[in-house]
Amino acid sequence: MSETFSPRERLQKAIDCQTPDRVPIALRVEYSAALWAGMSCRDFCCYPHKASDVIEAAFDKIGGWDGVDNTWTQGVRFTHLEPQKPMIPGVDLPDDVPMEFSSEPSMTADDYDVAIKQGYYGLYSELIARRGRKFNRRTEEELFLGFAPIYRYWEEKKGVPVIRGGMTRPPVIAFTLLRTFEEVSKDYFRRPDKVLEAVNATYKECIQMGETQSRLVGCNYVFVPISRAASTFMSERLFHKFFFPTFKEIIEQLVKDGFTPRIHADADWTPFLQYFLELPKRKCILELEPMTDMVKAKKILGGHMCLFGDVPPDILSLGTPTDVESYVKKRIEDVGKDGFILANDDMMPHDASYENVKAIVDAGKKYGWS
Amino acid sequence: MADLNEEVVLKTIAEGVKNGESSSGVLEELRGGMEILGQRFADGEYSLAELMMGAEIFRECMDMIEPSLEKNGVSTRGRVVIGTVKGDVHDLGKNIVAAMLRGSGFEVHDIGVDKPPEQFVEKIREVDADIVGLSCLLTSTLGSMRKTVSVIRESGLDIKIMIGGGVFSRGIESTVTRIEGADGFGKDAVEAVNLAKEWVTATP
Ligand code: B12
Repeated sequence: MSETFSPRERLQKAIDCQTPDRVPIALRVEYSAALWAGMSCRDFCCYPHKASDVIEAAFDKIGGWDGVDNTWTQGVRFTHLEPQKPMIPGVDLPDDVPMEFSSEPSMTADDYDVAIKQGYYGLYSELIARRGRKFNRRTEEELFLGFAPIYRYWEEKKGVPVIRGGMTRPPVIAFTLLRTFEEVSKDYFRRPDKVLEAVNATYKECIQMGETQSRLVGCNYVFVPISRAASTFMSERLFHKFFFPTFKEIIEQLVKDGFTPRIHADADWTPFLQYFLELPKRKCILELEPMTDMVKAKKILGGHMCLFGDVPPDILSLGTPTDVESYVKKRIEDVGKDGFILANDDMMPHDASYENVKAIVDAGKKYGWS
Repeated sequence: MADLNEEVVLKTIAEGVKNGESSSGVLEELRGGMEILGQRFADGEYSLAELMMGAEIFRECMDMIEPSLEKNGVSTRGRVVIGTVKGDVHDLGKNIVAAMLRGSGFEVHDIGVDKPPEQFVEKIREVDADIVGLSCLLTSTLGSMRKTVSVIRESGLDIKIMIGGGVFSRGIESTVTRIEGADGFGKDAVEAVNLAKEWVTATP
């Protein structure tokens, strides 16, 4: 078969819930690329250019795909934008494993008031300052402007879209990360009004943050992680009360401002799928993992929202290329070629084998033609 | 209790304790509440957030009635040691399993996350446990899970081993995730409780 679409067109067609020349393939390659190339995880974590180089080497060797994730920014981004103490490979950890975070909470119940009074940036600045670091709109701008040349390189020299600019983390999701899921779960019952007030006081700035970061790197995909609002974690009553109304506004605003939200939804969303029908039609990507029934998702959301997923990390680490190929083949048969982007689920494990990752692309290029 | 009204539950228990109500009676009621909670979770009405809150209320109540329970020598259904295996720091699932087991009358010793096999063995000996639960979410720590099971088996302890965690529920080949030597697998907290109940009633 011959390719008649560019990677960008192919992705766009899928987002429009139509059938491109073949199913687009997006990979979120991370530390495994460093290990394949004999680079230390420390270098991948701390030096965005080096990280981009090993991803490019893998990209070329595998034969290319249609959308790359900005994982080369990850280590630096997390170190500057998150209050949790990062554990750096080769410094705090062995040199052949990815960066991790101490799960120590950084937000207390009183900090809902900080969020209410000072907003989203104010909350983050305060929590990061407590760890002896500095964060404000200027530091954010410097950081993202620093990434911009690598974005341009991929787009212009390699002809491949980078599919993540900035990130908009809905407030409840941010709180569960800053304060732990367990504490926020109790807050839903013990201080529901505070949580809600903090949600309402911050969500508009969350939108701004994602948009600003995206503009700075010149990329119109905004990553919107929502895993901790899944049915696994929230009942429908809580979902309604604390999450969905502001989430809907977030997505509507992003779309109105010309961005493509990548709604990243790990864990089980099957009972909540119909809610996505309330979001703008043919404007978003919904990223699912195998805990959600993708076939049911297609039934409910087909023609409305582009689905993205979901080769599981376990297969990439422990399976064989044949396992990968049959997973991809079945996935494409099940969800069809209209409105589907083939991808690995969430983060790629650092011990994913090169052969297995290549097998995703090979299988996509074998079974994905229209 | 099952409606998660913390204030009301705590007040009722405090009054009960003050009025000298039998603590085992109170405990029975609490367990009943936890059972309903588990049922609503299984039915999809409740999520993890409700279970977390329920576990918290249960813990607070236990803190209040435990002194008198000990005095009256109320027996437990069985002793369980639970933890997440070495290399893995995920604990939401394990905590829920621990809470639901407590709610069903088991005495649970939670040793935490990232624990090497030796610490499981040590704790099992120390508390003379009937059951040990191992949690694992990462494929990279499946080996660690295997090792823990085999070390426990080699220690010659008379113990039932129950395993669980996300790594077993993401649809990979069961041959890959099979753990030799484990006695049972629980898909979720409700299954974990059922397994544990089955085992303690089966042993004379
Ligand atoms: C929340 C989360 C985190 C939180 C954990 C918070 C915490 N305190 O636990 C944080 C952010 C810290 C985290 C960190 C990491 N995570 Co994580 N995480 C998740 C996530 C989104 C949800 C897990 C969860 O809590 N589920 C809800 C609970 C209730 O489910 P559960 O644990 O399965 O438990 C249920 C059952 O399994 C069972 N059960 C559980 N334990 C037991 C025990 C027994 C005895 C029994 C019978 C039953 C049982 O009952 C429970 C209740 O029903 C998953 C995605 C997913 N879909 O699983 C990724 C996921 C597990 N994480 C992943 C990864 C890679 C990581 C990191 C390595 C990332 C990194 N580089 O930093 C680190 C791990 C560091 C380490 N050394 O462990 C991967 C694992 C991939 C793989 N195949 O190995 C996943 C699958 C995400 C992904 N798709 O890539 N993570």
